[in-house]
Order: sequence, then structure tokens, then C-alpha cells
Amino acid sequence: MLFYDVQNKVEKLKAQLNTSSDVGTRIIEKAAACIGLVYLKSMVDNALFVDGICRPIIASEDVSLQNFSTIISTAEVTQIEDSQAVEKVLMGNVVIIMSGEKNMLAVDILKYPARIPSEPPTSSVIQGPREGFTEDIRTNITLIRRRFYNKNLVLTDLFVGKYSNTRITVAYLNGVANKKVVKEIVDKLNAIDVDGIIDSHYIIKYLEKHPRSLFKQVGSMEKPDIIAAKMLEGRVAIIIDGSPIVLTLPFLFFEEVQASNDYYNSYIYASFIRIVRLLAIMIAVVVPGTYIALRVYHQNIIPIKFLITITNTTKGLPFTPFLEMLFISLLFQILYEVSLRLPSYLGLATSIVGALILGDTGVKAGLISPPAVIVVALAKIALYTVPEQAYQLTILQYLFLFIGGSLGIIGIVGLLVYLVLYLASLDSYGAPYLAPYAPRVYSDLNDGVFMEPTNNMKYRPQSFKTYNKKRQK
Amino acid sequence: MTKTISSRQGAILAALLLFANKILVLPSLMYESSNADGIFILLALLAVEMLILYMFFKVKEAFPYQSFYEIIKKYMGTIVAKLFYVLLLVYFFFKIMLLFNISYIYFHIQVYIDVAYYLFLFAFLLIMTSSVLRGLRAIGRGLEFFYFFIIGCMFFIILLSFANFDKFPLFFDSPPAQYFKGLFSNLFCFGDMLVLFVLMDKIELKKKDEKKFFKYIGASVVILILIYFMFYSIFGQTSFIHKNAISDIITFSYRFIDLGRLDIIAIVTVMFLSFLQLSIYCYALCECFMKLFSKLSIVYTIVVFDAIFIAVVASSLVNYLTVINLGVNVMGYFAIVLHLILPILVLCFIKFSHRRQP
Repeated sequence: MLFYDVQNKVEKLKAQLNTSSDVGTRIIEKAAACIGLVYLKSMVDNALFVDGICRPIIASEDVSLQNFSTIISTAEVTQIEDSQAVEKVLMGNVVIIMSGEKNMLAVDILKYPARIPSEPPTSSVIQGPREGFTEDIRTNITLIRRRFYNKNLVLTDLFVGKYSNTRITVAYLNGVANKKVVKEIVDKLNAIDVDGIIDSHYIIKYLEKHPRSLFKQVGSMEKPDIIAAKMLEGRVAIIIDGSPIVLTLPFLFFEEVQASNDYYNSYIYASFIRIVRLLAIMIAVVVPGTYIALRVYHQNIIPIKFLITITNTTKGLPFTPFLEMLFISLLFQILYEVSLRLPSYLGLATSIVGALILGDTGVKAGLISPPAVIVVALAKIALYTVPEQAYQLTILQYLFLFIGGSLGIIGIVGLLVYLVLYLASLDSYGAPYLAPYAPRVYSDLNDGVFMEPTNNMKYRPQSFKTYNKKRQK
Repeated sequence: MTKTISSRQGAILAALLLFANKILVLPSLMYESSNADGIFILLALLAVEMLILYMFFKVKEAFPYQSFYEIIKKYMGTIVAKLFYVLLLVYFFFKIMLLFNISYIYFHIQVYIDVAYYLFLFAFLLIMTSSVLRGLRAIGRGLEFFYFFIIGCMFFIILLSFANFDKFPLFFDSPPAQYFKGLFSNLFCFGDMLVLFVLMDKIELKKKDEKKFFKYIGASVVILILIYFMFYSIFGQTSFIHKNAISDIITFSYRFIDLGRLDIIAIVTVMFLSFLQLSIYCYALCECFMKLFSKLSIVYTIVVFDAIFIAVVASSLVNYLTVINLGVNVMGYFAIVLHLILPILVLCFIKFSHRRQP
């Protein structure tokens, strides 16, 4: 009688799980009770299941719902209602059904293959921590938690996605982060009604205030040390299960000019290299368009010796300057896409074919000119000084190319003014996107383009109105 | 984004607007009326600007949260308020026309030889429209972003064009009647501080913030005076043929000649300035329009402006030379009227506001 009662409940639960092939069940008969176990074979630690749950239950003489926590000492045991059973099984728990009991028990022995934290390929450092986030949210939380031995690190869990039910953890420092911003983020995440969240990039568009904008409005990072530093500044981190990219908010434009290396080097060098990065952004975006504008409209501005060189090298070309530039840019873009997708041994061959054969032969055949190749190469290399913005900058590069070819230098200046006014109109959770420069926030200038030594950074960034403004005495 | 701008952004707005129409053709025009003594016309007209600025502070102090339109309406009635705003609307429209045309001539001479007038119209109209739609806060932040670049370039131009002190012109060689004629004919190129009245409820200004205005506007005044000094000292007797002062003082500089054509710095600076100044004027014009027709949205307002602007520019009757002649001759009267009405209104308001207080 006891056996059939438990077996019915086990079968019912299995049916609720659509009798998936990885649903495991076991029924253990004892003298005074019958115990049913339901779990997902693909989601639990099998060794722990046998040695930590099955064996102690079989060995135990007195089995009851109340003393299970003493029988199973290797994992956390929680009492649940039968309505929670399916969810718990799906999250890697073993659900224990006891005969004659309405409630059930859940034992968390979740285990799945996880990568060991290693240096992320997108942000390697010469000096400084080399840990990177992994796809396992629990590992990622540990990597953050061990940087704050403090009760004020608050983690709030949410589950998003109708089918994926993905765990998202919002992390912030209580008393530092702005509570309004935290609430706004949690509300936005709760409002997401989508079938699944596979990666952190899936939720970026839900968090952005201007989802159609070309510009990045949510920070993303693979390194826990940087996330910890951003949280100390008053930002909120969003960790998504299954993604090694942790998001941060509010996000400012000038964050992209900062790199983790800056904080582990001399502040003088960091300031210098930030100026170089800004310069590289300008070169990447503006130079191809300006070159076209000068060649098409403003030859009289080009210094005479340079003009002679250009004229000599472009003599007899079959394309207009604009088409020539577009051709080289697209060629580079195709090579870049190919090298990304091909295995590394073939990627090398493609680079040789692209750079040496196509480029060199193109020049020799009189299809393209050397100055245009140099300009495109310079602009394309400069893009990758800020790798996370490379895609956005590429679009801007083409935009400036078109505007330079059609309107000349006035179009380029006009587009620059338009872009700055557009960026100036953006806000990221109350923080002006171009802060600390537009509007000027004097206290934040010590970590802007120019950096001061960290012992001089007395205050947290005021651009996003943190609580507890003072960072150090 | 129609929220307020900070006092710093307001100060930068006023400081950059001070260069409008004054650094290209005006030094040459002043030379035509008063020779090198044109510098005194500049000083006198800058004094007028400072007077308008002073009046702005007084009105803002008395009515910190009200718009200028509301103040006139409260004390003088809706009709006077509307009439004054119609005058301002026309004034700003002609300012835009003048600035646009002067910029066009400048760029046409310096960098575009065979390019159509409509290319400029398209570029400028696009920026004016988008900036008005983005709002005053975006404009204010944009101005703040570009400010040091523009001022840096201005100082760079002055440094590169550094004139020989031996050639500094002798002043007071024109009869006094010519000063007054010059004052009148160039008045329309001044009075840029009137924009502050239109935007007064959108500028956060505390008592101590006035210093910021003096600091930023002071820098602009110094730069303007230096440019005029350089211009008259470099070109001596030929100033009247040099229509693009800021470019010419650097093009004909004998220093750093090996570096190539350095007036590209002036060209780019003027481009940035023109875009930003036209955006401010256009926003001020739309503000006037929306005060006159309170039920209209900003989108409708800017569409109406664009249509009228294109129609006027496209009209065969009005070409750029007509606009400049209009600005110098006819609009002088208009500017006098506006610059006289404003002090009277301001005096009235201050008197009323004092009477209100116990």
C-alpha cells in the first residue's frame, strides 16, 4: 500500500516532466516507510546521489521528513510543497517523496560541466588579475563575492524566460549604489516576457533606454576585478547564467576609453594611452571620409608635395576616389569576417592572400592606389584599440565615408556635431552619457581621459549620483 | 529633452554666440566705414552686448523661474507679449539667414569652389532640425563638449597669425560721423545676448553663477578684440578686400609657413561654430514660435521653419548678397528698435517687481 502510494506520486511527477528520457526515479522500501526519489540524470552529481543520498537512506533505520537533514549531510535539504516539485527537479535537485507525507524534500546536488576560470581573450592584461568569468553563474558569483568580504554585497535572484527560466542575479553594494537605479533595473528585468535567455546579450536590448541606438548603453565585462571596481564606484552588475559576460549599469561613453590595464600601470602612462585610444577612435571613424573629402572637394587644402604624391599614384585608376575607398574597405571587411569564422590554420592563409596578394596585386594592377590602402589599413587597425566598440565604429566609418564623399568636409563636421548632440541627449539610468565632459562633472575628471593616481580619487563618480560619495579620506 | 541647462552651459552658449557673424566679413565691413578705427565700433557694440547681458541678469534675478514671455504678458498684456515675440521671431530668422549666407560665402571661397548652394542648405538644415528636436539640454551639453576645442583653435589661430607690433595701426584717423554710421550699419551683427531672454526660464542661474558668464564671455571678448587687432595690424590699408578675417589672418601669416595651409584650422573652427550657432538661433526661433502658437508641438514648429527657410533660400529674389545687404542696411533699423524696446521693457519689469515687494 505504501509502495503504491509513493509509486503513484513518482509517476505523476514523471508525467509532469513529460517523461523525458533523462528523468531518473528510484523507490526505496523501508520497514516503516517507502521513499521515492525523482531527479534529472543530466543535472545531478551522480556520485553524490548514490553516496550522499541513496546509501544514507538505505542505511538509516528511522526515516522521517523531520530527520532527513541529519541523514543527508552532504547537501542542503529543504522542505517543499508538491507544487514546487517540478521546478526543483529542473533545477538539479533530487525530490524526495515519502509515503504518508503531503510535503516533499528537495536536495540540491546540481552538477553540470563547467569551465575553470581562465584569462578572458577579450581583456588580457600584462599585469593584474587573470581570472575571468565562466558560463557558470555560481562560479561567477563566487568570483565577485570573494572580492567583498562584506555584508553589504547584495545579490538578488530573478528567473527570466518562459522556457529557459534563466537565473539572473543583480549584484550591488548596499549603501553605495543608487537604490532607484537598482529598482529600475530589477523592474525592467521582471518585465521581460520572452521565451528564453541564452546569453547576456539577449537582455541588453531590454535594459537599454534607446534600443535602436547604434551606441552601446550597457557595460559588459569578462573580468571580476573590473566588475568589483565598477561596483565600488556605485554601478550595478547583472550576472546571467550561461554567459561569461557580466553587464554593468549605468554606462558612460568614456568607459570604453578605460581599460583594466590602466589601473595596474602608472597613471601617467594610463593617461597617455587613453589619449592614444581617443585619437585612434577619431582616426578610425573620420580619416577615410576626410581623405575622400580632400580628394574630391578640397584638393587646394592638401599640401602641395602630398598632393603631387597622391596625383602620381592615382593617375589612371578606373574607380572614383569614393568607389576605390569603398572597394578597399569592403575587401578588408570580407577578409575580417572570413578570418573570424575560419579555423586558425586557414585564417593565416586568408590573411596572406588578402593582405599581400590582393592588396599588392591590386596596386600593381592599377586598380587601387597605395595612399588609399594605407588610409584604410590605418583606420581598420585603429578600430581595434577599442575592440568592444569595433562594430559600432565600423558603421560610423562607412557613414563618414559616404558623407565625406557626398558633402565634403562640411558633411564630416556636420556629422560630428550631430553625433555629439545625439550622444549628449542620451542618459543611462540618470547618468548623462557623455559625462564627465558634457555636462562637466569636475569631481569625475580624475578618471576621465586623464587619470590621477588612485589615492587621489577621493570620491565616487558623481555622474550617476551614488550614495556614500566619499571613497577614501 | 526640453529640460533646463546649467549656468555653465548657459555661459558657454552666450560666449560662443558672441562670435556669430563677427569673425568673417564684419572686420572688413567695419574697415570700409571707419578704417582701422573699426575696432572702436567693435568695442562700442560689445558694450551694447554687455548691457543686454546685464539686463538679462537683472530680469533673471527679479523673475528667476518665469519665461520672458510670461513676464511681458503679466505686466503688459498678451498683445504686447505677442508683438514683441513676433519681432524676436523675425530678428532671429534674419540672424539665421545672415549667418547661413555669410558662412556659405566663406566656405565657397575657402574650400568649395564648384559646389551648389543647396548642398550647404541641406547640411545646415539637417543639423538645425536635429538639434532642435534633441532639445536645449542636448545643445547645451554639445556646446560644453566642443567649447575648449573651439576656443583652443581660436587662440591657436591668433598665436600663429601673430602680427608684427611695428605694423600695429594708428587709431583715431576717421571722422566721428563715420563711427556712428558704422555703429548703425553693423548693429544687426550684434545683440546675440537677446537669445538669453528667450531661453531665460530654461537656464539655471544663481547669484554667484553670474561670474561664470563673465568668465566665459570675457574670454570671447578678448578673442574677438585680438582677432580685430591682428586683422587691422596685418592688413594695414587693405583690410577692405579681405572678407574672411579669421582665415586671412592665418593664411597670410609669415610664421610657420612651412607647415602648409594652416587656415584649415580656421575653416574647421568656423564650421563647428556655424553649426552650433545656427542650432542655438533655430532653437530660440522655435521657442518664440511656440510661445506665439502655444498649441503647436516642437516637431510642427521645426517643420514650419524648415519649409519657410527652404522657400526663402530657394526664392530667386533672395540670394546671399541680398540677405547681407539687408542685414547691413535695413536690419540695422530693426536692431535699433529691438535694442531700444528691450531696455524699456526691462526697466518696467524691474520697477514692477520692486513695487510688488513690501
